Amino acid sequence: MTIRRTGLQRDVLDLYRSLLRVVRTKPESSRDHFYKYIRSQFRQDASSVSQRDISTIEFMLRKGRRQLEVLKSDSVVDISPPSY
Amino acid sequence: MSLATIGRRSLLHSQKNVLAPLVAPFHTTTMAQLATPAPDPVQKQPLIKTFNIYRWSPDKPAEKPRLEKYQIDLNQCGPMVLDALIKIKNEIDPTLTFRRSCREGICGSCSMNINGGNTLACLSRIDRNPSSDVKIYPLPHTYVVKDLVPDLTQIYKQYKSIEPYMKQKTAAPERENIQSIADRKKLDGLYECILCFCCSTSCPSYWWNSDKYLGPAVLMQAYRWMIDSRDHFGVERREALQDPFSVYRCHTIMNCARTCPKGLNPGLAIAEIKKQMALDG
Repeated sequence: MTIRRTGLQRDVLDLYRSLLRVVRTKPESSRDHFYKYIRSQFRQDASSVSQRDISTIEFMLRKGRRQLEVLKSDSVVDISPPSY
Repeated sequence: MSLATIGRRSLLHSQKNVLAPLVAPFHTTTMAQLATPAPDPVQKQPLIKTFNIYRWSPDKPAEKPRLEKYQIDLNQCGPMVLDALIKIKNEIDPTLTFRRSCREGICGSCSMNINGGNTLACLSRIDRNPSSDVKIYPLPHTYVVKDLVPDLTQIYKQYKSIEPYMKQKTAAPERENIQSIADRKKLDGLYECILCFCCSTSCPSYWWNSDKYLGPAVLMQAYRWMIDSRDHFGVERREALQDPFSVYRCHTIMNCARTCPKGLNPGLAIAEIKKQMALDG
């Protein structure tokens, strides 16, 4: 049996998945930086917002999609990993 | 001795030389007037007007948008809504964010929803009756970047899609592209558009179909290039719009013509496109 998800949950997971797929086009040496960056961004946003706050989550999704467009560009080869 | 006094003396000298008999009595009276202090300028009673302005910041996405009240003395402020916004930003709340540039209705940056109608803040007068508030919102049905700044990415993408530049099939002429006066006249009422997108964001049809319907502002520009006598791709341009959504979502609601701060009529231009598309067959 599969987990039933709302449309919004699926949108967030779609964005996460497409971000991870973009990382595979980047040079191997910097991939770890991208993974850490993406994961920490999602963790940070998820902890800062209530599950029911749909308008805020939608705003974060739009922000994430814009960032995805930037990361897709071939001229992006590395990212500074998040500072903990 | 300061430079200014030297200057004045030499001026008096030269006047005396030219108009010697006339100048002497005038000279004494002006000096006497200079000696008396000018009366205080009349102090006007403060005329307080309340502005309700939409506020939302992307830095705190979990906070809901809110209306913030600002009180402005209209006697210490310019006549237009943009003057009041700039005054608020300068003197009350520097975090208030809005786009502005030319402050005279030429750039189209300061389009926003003022008292329920889309218009340019720089062209809309403040109602001087202090009993009613001024309400200012960003353009309706746009994503908000911050406060009064709308995200126009989608509209700019659509504008790009109609190829808003001259395309010719023949080789470029050696000198100018010559146009007759009658042909030039056809562009009047179209070329004045400043792309403030007051019309597109006031169109209910565009609200519901902004992904596929191009909207009045973009369609008017499409028409502007179709009827330009120097452009050779009119048929192809119309061909590209031949689908149920791009043009035909216009149901002649005519909010566009009513709201346009430049007094243009995008609805008419869309009707002309439809007519030409029908004639193309």
